[in-house]
Amino acid sequence: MSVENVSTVVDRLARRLRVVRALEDLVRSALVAAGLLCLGLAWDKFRPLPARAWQGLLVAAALVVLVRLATAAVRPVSRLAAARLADVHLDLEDRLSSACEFSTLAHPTPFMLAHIHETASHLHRVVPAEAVPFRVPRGLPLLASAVVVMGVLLMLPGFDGRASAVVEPRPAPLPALRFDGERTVDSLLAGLDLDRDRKLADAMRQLKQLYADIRAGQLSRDEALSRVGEVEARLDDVERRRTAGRTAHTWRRELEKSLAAKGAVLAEHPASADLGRAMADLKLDEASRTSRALAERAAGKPPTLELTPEQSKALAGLMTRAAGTDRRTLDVLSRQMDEAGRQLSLEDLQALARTLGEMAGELDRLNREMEKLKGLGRMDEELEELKDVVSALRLDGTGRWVLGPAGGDGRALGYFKLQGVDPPKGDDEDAQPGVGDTARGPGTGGEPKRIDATRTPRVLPGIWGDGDSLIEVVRGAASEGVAATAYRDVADTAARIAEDAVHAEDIPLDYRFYIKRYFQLIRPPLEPPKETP
Amino acid sequence: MTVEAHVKTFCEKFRRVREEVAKVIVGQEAVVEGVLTAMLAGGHVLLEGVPGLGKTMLVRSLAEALHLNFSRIQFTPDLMPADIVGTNLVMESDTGERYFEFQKGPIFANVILADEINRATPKTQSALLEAMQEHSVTVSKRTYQLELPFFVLATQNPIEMEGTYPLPEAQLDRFLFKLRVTYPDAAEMHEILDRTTAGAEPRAKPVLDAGEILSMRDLALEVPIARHVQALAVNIVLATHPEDGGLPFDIPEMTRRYVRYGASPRAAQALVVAGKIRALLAGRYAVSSGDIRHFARPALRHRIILNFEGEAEGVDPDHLIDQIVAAVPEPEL
Repeated sequence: MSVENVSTVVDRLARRLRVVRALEDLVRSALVAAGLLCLGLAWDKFRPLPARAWQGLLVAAALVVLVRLATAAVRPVSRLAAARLADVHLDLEDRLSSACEFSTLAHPTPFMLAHIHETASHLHRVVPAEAVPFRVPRGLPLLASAVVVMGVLLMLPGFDGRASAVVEPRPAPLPALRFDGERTVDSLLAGLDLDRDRKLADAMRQLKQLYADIRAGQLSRDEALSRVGEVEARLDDVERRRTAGRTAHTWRRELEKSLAAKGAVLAEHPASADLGRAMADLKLDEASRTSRALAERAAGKPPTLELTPEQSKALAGLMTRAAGTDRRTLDVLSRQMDEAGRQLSLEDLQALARTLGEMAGELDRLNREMEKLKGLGRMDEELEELKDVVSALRLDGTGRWVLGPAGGDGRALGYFKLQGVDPPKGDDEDAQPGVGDTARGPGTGGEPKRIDATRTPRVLPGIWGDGDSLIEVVRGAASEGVAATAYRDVADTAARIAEDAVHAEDIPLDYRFYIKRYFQLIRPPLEPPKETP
Repeated sequence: MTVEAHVKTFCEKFRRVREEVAKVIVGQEAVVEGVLTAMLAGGHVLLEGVPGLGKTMLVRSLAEALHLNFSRIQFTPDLMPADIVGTNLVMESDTGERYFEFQKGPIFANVILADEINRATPKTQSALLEAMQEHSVTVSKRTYQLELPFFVLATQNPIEMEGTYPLPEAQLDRFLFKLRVTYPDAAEMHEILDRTTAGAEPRAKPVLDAGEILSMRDLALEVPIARHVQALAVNIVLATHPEDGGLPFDIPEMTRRYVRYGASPRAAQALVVAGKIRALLAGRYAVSSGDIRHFARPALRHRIILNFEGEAEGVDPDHLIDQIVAAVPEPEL
């Protein structure tokens, strides 16, 4: 009988608990639905939602509430939890919950039965309203706030007109700039074999268009840098493909080194000394001319290239030796030199003349290749310079373009300084830079005068020796005897390590106490000591 | 006899013992209740207090009220294990034949007062280990069973630490409770003076014998405990560990900061068994959460090993336990 009584009361409590939880679920789901509607209303203020979207939103909100309620109705409520609530609220000292658990056992002990019986005598105190009281759901204040927000949003006018009027500011275009690079591109394009170097020519044209757009002052900084990056990537791709993975600079250095090595060998014989020196000095046009002159002397009737058998043999050996020098880099020229050496040893001067003519042609081709590589190298430098200038340009407070940080040295940059016309050199001392746009407005000078000045490279010898050095001596704790870290900062770590050691080591119990006490005593105080006046 | 009648008898016997002890001991109700509870639970008690608070008197009065054999061992640094458990002596028979005979030590009693236990060396302290846990003593490969009930009451002085040997953690864990004996208040002091300075001192009369104690112990162990109440005991013990072992609640910050090792499963056993006795004394037939919480301090305070920082900060284990008990939520149902 007592068991039934307890079960009846607990069932009643469980039903009430289900209602209380359903109420909480209802408020929580209503809060989610209100949040959805608030979002929809806020969105609608800036960009009106179509009727269909509103319908969807309302259905979603209703579904959230309904699903949650249905879940609450179906979800089982623990009888034990209901009994426990009653124990807590009515101060029953776990009687009801324990009795609830014991009553479900198949074979309760006499003590359990006594407990259930004793609990039954307390059931008159179990009032469901007090055992499982209705509480204000925690989400209710939030729900009220959400409703208020919804009301405010409903009353507010829409912002869609204002929102559409917002236009993102376009980045300021750079001033009109003119660079040397345009001329470099032109000269390179003029020297290109369009059939062989079609991709390189396309990259050149793309670069030329970039220079033209920058000169027209139509590009912003980001656009300019982005396009410079595109051109660089394309040039890299073309160059690497042409020179088997080597850069133009590397390839040029290899060619120069190989030509100089072959030339040095040929310079040892009086008959080929001019050709060898021209190759060693990298004067390939002169080398080509010398080769042709040798060919004419060999082909003359009678031949004016008069060589004794010993001289022929020596020259043939030199040719073969020169051919063997760095054969892989200059394979065609090496093959031709091999051929010439063989023909000399056979004293076949007619054949030798043909071979020397072919060598002259190959030297011409190499001369063009070297010029192209020089041009590509220069173009790389000019592109770097262009990037530097574009990156360094800033608008100062007065709207003028200056180099460097905003409001820096105040150097005005306009057409004259950025035009970058070739400086007067050599025979063109009277050449004057053109006059173009300035920062204050368009100029009147038109196109600058084109100057095809050449450069004269000079080699400056370096000086070996001890230069100025910055020497910094870092003093360690050992030399000075001063701690680098404050004791307070490491005391905790040290104490922890000491504690671990004390526990890990085999230390007599009475000693352990003193060791621990020692570390306790050397702990730094919590607050730093106040300074005495 | 019904369960209700058994419980009623249990409470009556307990009340009688308490009254007899109260004739001699003034106040200290919590300590007396703790000692009696530990005795009925089959555990041992470590009493901590400064000299002169009546610790020895309490134990002596208890032994008198319980009609049990009582031994007092004063622990000193030169005390040897054989002085406690006994030793084999060479005896001579009437015929002149010599033989070994085991002379029982003072541990062969029902109630042992191990006075100032922390003054003996660890070797001697450990002589109590087997007796406390197994209720037996082994000497020269021979094991002697101790008579039940076997109840060790150890005392230690918390202030005179010079020349003492703190009890090892393994031995501390064998004490069911660690009880703190505090100073009596003014009214209790007057009562003590009235009783002890005028005429004959009161003495306790034996009201309970060994058999009754063992039957009370058996009855207490029959008290059921619901799973969710037991879960509370488990959670409290687990919350004393600084490592978060996947507990469903956050352990208190103080535990993480100041505790090196938490309580062992023996602590949970102590909480449950003591809770059963308290439930019976309250006239209930099942353990409640309040019973578990009530014994948290005495059952845990000696089982929580503070770390270096905790000891240096002088953290009171009781304060720590209060925080742990407050932080442990009711088990989810």
